[in-house]
Amino acid sequence: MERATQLSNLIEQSKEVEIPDAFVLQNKKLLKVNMQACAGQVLAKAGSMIAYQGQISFSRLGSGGADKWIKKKISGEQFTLMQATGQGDLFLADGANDIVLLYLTNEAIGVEALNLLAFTPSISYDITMIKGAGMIAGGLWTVALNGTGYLALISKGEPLTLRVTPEQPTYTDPNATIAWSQGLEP
Amino acid sequence: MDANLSSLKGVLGSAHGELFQLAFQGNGYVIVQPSEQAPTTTLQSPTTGSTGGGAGGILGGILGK
Repeated sequence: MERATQLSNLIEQSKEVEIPDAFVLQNKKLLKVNMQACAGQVLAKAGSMIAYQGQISFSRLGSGGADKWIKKKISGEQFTLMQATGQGDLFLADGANDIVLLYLTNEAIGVEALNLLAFTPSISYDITMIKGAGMIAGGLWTVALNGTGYLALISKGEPLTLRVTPEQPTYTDPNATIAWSQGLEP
Repeated sequence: MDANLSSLKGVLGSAHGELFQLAFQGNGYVIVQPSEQAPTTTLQSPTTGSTGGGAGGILGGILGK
């Protein structure tokens, strides 16, 4: 049985993690974005803001061109991003799910759209549909990310990384799949 | 990566019970979560905080919710 703690203990145990990085995990389920370290801008899953300090404004991300607009509409708006702009600290979370924090160094990665929490604008993105799924699946849309910067993914529980080789193809449940290297060939 | 539509027979009662599988071939890695349920779509308005429910899926997307 867990007994009540002193208020001072709670404050000490759950206090903010102060590191000047652009993305800092406060715990496994909460991400802090240092807006200044992101040049005042970050892209995040719409509705993922749980708190902020400073002067930050939020807006739905623009279509990013007709191509992306059409893909967004066809994908049922599963990929809905907001753009946060300003100065201060932004705190993001997604349904108490775990957050996986990555730093890409001129790298590419494919991410299931619903598992994408946030990334710095230095990373470019495009919406793609998994080949073979067509309209039947309705939700097999993914986001291709490419560049250098911070990337935060959502995981329901602690993730597992599986190595894929030509001798060992890997089969996954789409709902359990978070991300994959772009080097993989269909 | 490709969707393995041969597993469509899952609807008819295959052992793995999945409608679709993703097949990863080549050299690389794939990251999976220990849950067969994807995170939910977040459709809250970032400016008002209101929930943007309404029609979902492909039709909802085309109609613009």
